[in-house]
This record gives sequence, C-alpha cells and structure tokens, in this order.
Amino acid sequence: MAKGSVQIVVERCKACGFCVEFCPTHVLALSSAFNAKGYHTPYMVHPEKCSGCDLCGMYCPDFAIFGYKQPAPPKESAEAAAPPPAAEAKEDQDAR
Amino acid sequence: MHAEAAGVMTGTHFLDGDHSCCEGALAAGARFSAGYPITPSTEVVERFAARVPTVGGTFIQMEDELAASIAIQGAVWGGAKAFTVTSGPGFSLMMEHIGLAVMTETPCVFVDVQRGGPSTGLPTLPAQADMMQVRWGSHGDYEVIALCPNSPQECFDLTVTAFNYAEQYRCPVFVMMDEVVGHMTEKVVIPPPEQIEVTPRRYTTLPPDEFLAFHPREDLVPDMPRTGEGYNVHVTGLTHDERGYPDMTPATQDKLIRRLQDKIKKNVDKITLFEEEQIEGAEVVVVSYGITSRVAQRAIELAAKEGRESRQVPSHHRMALPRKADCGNRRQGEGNSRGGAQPGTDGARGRTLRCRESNRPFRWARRRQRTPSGRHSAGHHGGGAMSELTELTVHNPVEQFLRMDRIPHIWCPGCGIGTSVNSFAHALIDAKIDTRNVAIVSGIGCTGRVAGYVKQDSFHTTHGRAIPFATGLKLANPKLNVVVYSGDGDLFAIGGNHLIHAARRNVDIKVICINNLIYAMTGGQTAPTTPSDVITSTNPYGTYDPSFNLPYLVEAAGAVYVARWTAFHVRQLARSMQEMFAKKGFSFIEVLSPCPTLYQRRNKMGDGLDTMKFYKEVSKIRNGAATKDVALTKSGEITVGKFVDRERSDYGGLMHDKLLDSLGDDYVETEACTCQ
Repeated sequence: MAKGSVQIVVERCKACGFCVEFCPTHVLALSSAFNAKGYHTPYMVHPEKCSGCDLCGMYCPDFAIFGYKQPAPPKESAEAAAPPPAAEAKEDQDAR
Repeated sequence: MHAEAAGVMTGTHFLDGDHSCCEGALAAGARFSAGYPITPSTEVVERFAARVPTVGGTFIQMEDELAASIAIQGAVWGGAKAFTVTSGPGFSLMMEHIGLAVMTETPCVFVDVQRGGPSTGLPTLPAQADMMQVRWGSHGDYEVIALCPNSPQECFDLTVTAFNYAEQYRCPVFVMMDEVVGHMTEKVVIPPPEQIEVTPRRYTTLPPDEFLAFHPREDLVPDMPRTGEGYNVHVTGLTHDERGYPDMTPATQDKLIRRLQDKIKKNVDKITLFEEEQIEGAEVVVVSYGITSRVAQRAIELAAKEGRESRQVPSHHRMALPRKADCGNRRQGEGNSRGGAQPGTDGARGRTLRCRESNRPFRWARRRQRTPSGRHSAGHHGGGAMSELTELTVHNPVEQFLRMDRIPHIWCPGCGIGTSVNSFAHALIDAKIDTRNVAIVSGIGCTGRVAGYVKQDSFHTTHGRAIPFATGLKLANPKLNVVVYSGDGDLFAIGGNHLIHAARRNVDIKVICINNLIYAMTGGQTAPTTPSDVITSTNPYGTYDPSFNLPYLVEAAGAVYVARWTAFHVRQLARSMQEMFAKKGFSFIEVLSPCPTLYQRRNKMGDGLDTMKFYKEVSKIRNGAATKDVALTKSGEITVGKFVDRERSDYGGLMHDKLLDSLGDDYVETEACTCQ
C-alpha cells in the first residue's frame, strides 16, 4: 500500500523531466502520450513506491504535478493506481 | 473634504516659491516625498524633510531621479499621497516613470522647477521648455495635467490643486514652476484648513472577490484598492485588462489607451484654469502662463501707457496642457470631431490599429484545446488522448498563492523560475505570517513576470526599478512585507545602483534574485553575471566582460542576510526564504536557474534537466563561506548556502530613533495607510 500519490494536471506540463529525475523513490516516468501542447507528460510507473513527499511538486516549474500523503484510500482507487504493464513502461522510458 | 490641520501652516508668510510649494503639498495631504538634489528645486524637499516628521510622514533622499520618481509611486500604492521635485536634467531622467504612472493610474505629483537647457544648461536661471517634455517626454500616447504658477502664492494654491487633480483623475500631475518663481520671495497667505479643499483618495468599497482593479466608474476612473488588505491586485506597466492582467491584444490596447486619454480629454474644461483680464473688445490677445505672464502684464501696461495700443489686452496666467492639444485638434479638423489627429498621438495609434483590423487573415488566432477540466489522474499513461478525469480531493498547496487564471505561464520548458516560485509559496505557508501583508515587486524580464503569477498584491514596475518602488512601498506602509522578485540583469545592471543603496540603507525589503546568467527575455545578451567564455548574442565569440560575484557585492553594500541556492535546492531555498521573512533589514537570496533556451542552447549545455543535474553534481553547501570566495565560473564548483546572517538596525528603525531623539514629542511616527 503506497503511502502517497501524485496528481498531475496534464495540460500544464512542459515535460522538463524534473519530477521524473528527482523523485527520491523513482515513482515517475514520462508517458508516450502527448498532451495538447505536444509534450510527453509524466505518469506513475511505480505508484506503490510513492511516499507523497511532494518533491515532484516542489520541482515542477509549471505547477503541473504535486504529491500528497494518502491516509487510507478506498479499494477502487488503489486499483486505479496499479502499475502499468512492464512492456508499456519500458516503451515510455525509451520515448524519453 | 478639508485639509488635515496638522499639515497646514495657516497665516500670512513671506515665502519663496519653492517653500510655498512644499507648504501646498503638506496642506494637500502629501506625507511622502523622495528626491534627489538639483538646483533650483531642492529647497522644496529641504523644507519637506524638516516639516514632514512633525506631521507623520517620510522624506527619503534617493540615489538618483529615476529612483525618486518611482519610489513615490511605491508610496502611493502603499497608501500615501506622494510627490517628487526636480529640475531639467533630473526631469529628463524621470520620463520613463511618467509613463508608468499614466499606465498604472498612479495618482502622484511631479514638481519641476524649470531651468535653462539642454543638458546642464543654466542651473541657476529660468526657462520654460520642459513644458514640451511633460507633454511628449515619455513614450507612447498619453495625456497628463500640468499647472504653471506665476508667484509663490500660486505655488501654494496650484500644488494643492495638483494633488486634488491627481486623485480625481488618477494620473500624474505636474507643477511646472521655474527658477524665478521658485526663488522669488513674496507674500503668501495660507488659509485655515477648513478653507482648503482636499480631494481624498477614492478607495473601493467592494470586497476583494468582487473588485476589478482597473474597472472604471462612469467618470472613466477606477477606484483604488488598499494594499495589504487581501485585494491581491496586479499592477503592471504592460497593457492590461480590467483585472490588471497583461493582455497584448490590439483590442485591449485600444480600449485602455482611449480610456486613459478620455478621462482627461473629456474633462478639459473642468481641468483648465485661466484668468481673463480686459478681454472684452480686444484687438490683440496675449496668452501666456507661468512667470512669462507677469512679464507680459508689464509689456501690456507699457504699451497702454505709450498710447500706441488703444485695444485692451488680457493675460492668461495658467494653462493645462490638454487644452492646448484639444485646440490643435479642433483647428485642424473644423466641424469634424474626430478629424485632425496630431502626429504621434492617438491618431497615429488609431491608424495602426485600423490597419491591423482590416487585415483579417493576419490577425492572431488563438487555439487552445483543453480537456474538460484539464486534470488527469495519476495512473493514465497510454498512447491515447488523456481525457479520463478524476475529481481531485486534494489540492496543490502552492495554488493558493498563484493566479491560477493566468496559468500556464510564459516560462520555457526547463526554466527554473517556476521552481523557485514553489519554494516561495512553501516559505509563505511555513513562515506563518499574514500573507495579505506580503507584496511582491518585480522589474522587467523573465523573472519580472513572477509578480503577475503570484496571487498577492503585486507590482510589475519598470526595468531595474523594482527596489526603489519597493522602498517607497515599505516606507509608506511599514506593516507590509515587501519582497522584490527579479532577475540578475534587472537587479545588478540597470538597477545596480538602487540595489547597493537599498542594501546600504538596510531598507527592510527581501530580495530574491533569479540568476540565469544572461538577459533571457530580450534574446540572450551578455549580463553582468555572465561567466567568461560563454557565447551570448552580443558576445558571439565568447564573453570577456568580468562578471559580478553577487553575494560578495551585496554583503559589502550592507545586507544583513545573504544566501545562494540553485533551482535544484528547493527545500533549502524554501527554508532560506522563510528565514528571510523573519529577518528585519535588507535580505538577499541568489537563486541560480537554468535558462535552456537562451543560455544553454548557444553553449551546447543541454536542456533544463541537464543543468539541474549539473547543479546537483557540482554544488557544495558551505554555510558561512566567505563571500569573496564564492564567485561563479562557467563549469566550476558552485558554492551554495547561507553566507551572511547578521544584525544591523534597518532604515525605518534608524530614522525613527534619530527623529525621536532630535524632535522629541514633536515627532509623529508614520502609520500605515494614513492617506485621506
């Protein structure tokens, strides 16, 4: 059970990669998907590792991501945050 | 309403024009002045410096006229009625801030005791040519009001009127004396306060969430907000909409500039002051103003005595400039209310805008695609459109300090300015201060835009002049926590003089300098911080200018708190900013920030992330390091940390102690927002 999670406002992201690089538990990766501006935005590749420290939020120059501590989320949201298939995650890494 | 009794020296006096002007300012309610000595105007502020501590106000001698002319505008937004005084060369330096006062609708008074020119000219002799400079000196299309006294008595009367006009029309008003009027000593009668009409500042009565900072009333003049009371207004010299937000569209420019002109042009008959003498049946009419009117009077009398002139001749003593402009228009476009535009005025602007509008295909098209709420939950990452949305139950704590209706911002991908704003917002949360009292002042440049994104009372001033504006704001309203957030070029090149003097005085302002080592917004030119061997657009073969070591300079100038961090050190930076809020006196934090577009690209230094990794790799935290050892190089070690944290009385404290010591019970302390 992850201690925290992140929220991402996709439209604000400019894909600088600060959050991905400096996440202390390596939760994030840049997605292969584009936002409307054409940037690859981050997603949680290892959500279970998130501590909700908000370092991603402190680094994000575009106010597009922030982390928060998760008290006791209901079951369905835990499922929604399940890790993506390994192959797709790898593809995302390559895309970066 | 009537003048406040404390400022009015009722009685019959033998005063020169300069001193009489000062008494007029005090009677009108002026409680702040910033000046720089220049003959023949200095006596006005010399008297003000002696008188104002006894009625509850401040005089500060600034480092130059640029600083003086914007410090008064800071003071006005702090709640004071304020004015500055100068002459010829000093007036030339003030031109940019006439434009700022017009654009930001800052009610303030400039007194110009005119002398002969050009250049140093005739410092001790009169001239009247600055009238042209008032009208045309600042760039762009604008209307202002100028009044010309011809005697010490009129210096008193018209200075009161100038302050009243400034408040009524929210524009800079000019008292155009000259050396003779300023230095001529005559009888001046100052009436009792109840006979002096004073126009109070028109503050809004609306609550902050209903208030639009630049939404005009029927008279085309908007109400003013009180700084530090949660209105979170944004004041900028950029073309702005009614919220005060920058908007670079022709439609907004047209609407704003028309209103700024119309609020004066439509009241020309009310504004213009003149006297008519024996005009009935005259064959020749002499129109004159200022000291010339008294010379003309004598000439008319002589002519009459010699019998050559049987006709009667009047003399006009004063003139408001809009009348002149208005006459010009009418004469050229007889019978046509819109005809005869003067070159360079709104006529020229009108033509430009019309061209734009007729060229429809070339108009800017704005296309923005947004997902319904723009929010995206953490788990979605596939190749398809990111349209699945999750209702947020938590919010980014930073957002409460941002104008979210202005996000996304203009900063490039990988720029560190936004990152520093996160640290600033966290410092505001952690400092546990009343954030309504935090005012942000920025200069011009990429970092200068911070003021427009932070949801506080925020002032986007002119290039390099954030610090003198902040100085005026703080001194007029000591309860404010004034933060200057600006770039290295703004603070250390064009504004370098202001920075060292504010540090010397130890004015209680907090300066955050985002140092990206270059002039970014203008396209990557060499800055005073650019390290050697860096390629810039103005040093295409590599820089050879030696660069500043910012912490060393600021410490030497007298700052009480000096730190340096990089955009990588987000938590340390937030802590440093928090410490700065607890510190009284001039505090300074340098924040190194990536500039991927204009610094790194030319130097093949990768993107913003590469620079952040570089910061992580080469930064060494050395708290207390000697600042002389922390100079930066292109690729060498970066020393970061808190270098200086010392105690020294701040400017407000020094002023208070000295005046209390010298004046005793006669000293009246400046209170926040005392403006009538």
